[in-house]
Amino acid sequence: MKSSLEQNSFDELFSLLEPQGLSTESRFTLCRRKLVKFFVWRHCTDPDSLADETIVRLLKNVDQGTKISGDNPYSYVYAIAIHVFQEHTRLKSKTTSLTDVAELPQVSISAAVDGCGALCLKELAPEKRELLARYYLDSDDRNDTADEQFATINALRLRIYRIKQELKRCRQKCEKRSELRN
Amino acid sequence: MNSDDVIKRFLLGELPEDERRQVEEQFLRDNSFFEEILAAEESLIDQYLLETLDNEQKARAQTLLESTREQKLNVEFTRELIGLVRGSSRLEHNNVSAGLTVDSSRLKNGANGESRLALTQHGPIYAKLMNQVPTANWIRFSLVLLLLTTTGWIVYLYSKERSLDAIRIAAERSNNEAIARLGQEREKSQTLNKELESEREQRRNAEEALAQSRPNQPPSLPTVRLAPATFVRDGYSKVLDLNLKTDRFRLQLEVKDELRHDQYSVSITTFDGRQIWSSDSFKPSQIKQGMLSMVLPGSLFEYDDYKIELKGREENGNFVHIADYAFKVRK
Repeated sequence: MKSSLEQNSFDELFSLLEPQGLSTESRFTLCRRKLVKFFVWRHCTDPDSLADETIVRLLKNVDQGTKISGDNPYSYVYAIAIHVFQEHTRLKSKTTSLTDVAELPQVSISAAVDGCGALCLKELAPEKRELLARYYLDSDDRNDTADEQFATINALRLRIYRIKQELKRCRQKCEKRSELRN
Repeated sequence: MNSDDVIKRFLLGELPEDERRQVEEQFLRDNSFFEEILAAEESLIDQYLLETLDNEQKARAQTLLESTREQKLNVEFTRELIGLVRGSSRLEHNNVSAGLTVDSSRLKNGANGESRLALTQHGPIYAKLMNQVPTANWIRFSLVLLLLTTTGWIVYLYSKERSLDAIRIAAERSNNEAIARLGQEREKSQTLNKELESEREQRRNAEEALAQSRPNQPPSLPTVRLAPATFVRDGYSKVLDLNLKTDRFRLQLEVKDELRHDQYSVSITTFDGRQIWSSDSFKPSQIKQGMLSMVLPGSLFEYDDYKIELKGREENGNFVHIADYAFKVRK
């Protein structure tokens, strides 16, 4: 459990980094997710650990009195993240990874989710399901699909991304229920 | 260079380090931009699975998308989703429920034209795909509904045909019964007519007999008494004025040759030979005081001149001429 001082630092940090209106937990989740993707997009093999390491160092510095202010508080976070990445790169070049990513076992979603994908697709709102089907069935004419939606291609991709996120959340819940039953 | 292209190159690791840092700092502070990159990454997964990337891009995308377990799961998720959406028509044909197994070769084909084929050749299927998971149930429901409707319609037509047959049979039976009743009524009517005619004849004979049995009593019917005549047309023939109300009249013929024959006949004809009435059943006993009386219906006679021939039967059975009579009717 974090101490009261740590808790105060924690709250203050993420209230600075993420917009008002979100809970501290949501702010933390959002910040962590961005850091994870930062390391993913830099092709790091263990982005979650690197993101957590970045946050730990960030909180430690704030707890030790480092002031984060200005118009761009993330510039400080970014600096730490780059530093963690460079350390990771140096460490990786000196050691052999115990886990070769290419040898990660293929996950059979079919067996794991046991129909969760189909179920979640079924539970999706009809207009979202329709858009999804149009998007994947008419993949060569996505600009036309975007025009029909009165949206740019980027806006269309954003909608698809959000629909897929919704499906993923649904599937995670479904899988948990399946695991509990089994 | 537009934002979309920059993001794609960022994801594929094609940006120089300084530009890369700009993108990274921006998505960290700008959540909208971060979400835009996430969406672009999903799009890149689509392109990777649908093989619309060139070889170099594909290799870079593979490095990115298979770098972590989470990335792999994300790719599998999209593969599964595309399979569900595109495979639904195949699943429907195979009549199996929507599974999650994805055929990657199918995805390849889809990228090269199957998706367009599905749209151009299977337009209606597209609509089904919109609701792809419940489609199998929906088709089953539609088929059951169609079957029930067809069965109901057949039953309705059959019952209607049966009903029409029953109505037709009932109508034929009713018609036959009506015809039979009509025949019975006709027979009754004919019987009644015969009975009526018989009663009329009996009454006429009775009146005639009564008149002949009371020759001296004042006749209750109009009476025409005729003496034998020598025919001279428009000569001395008696004129009989038959009143319209006169339905019968009595005719009395003077007979001088009394009782010489065992049976007499009377024949009334017009002068042009048309027979009006005749009878050969008079007995000698019916000639009273030199008069043979008979009651005739007035309706037999029209405006015309008539002659009467009286004959008597000889022993050999032949009737021989006795006398002629003549009279006129002027209504």
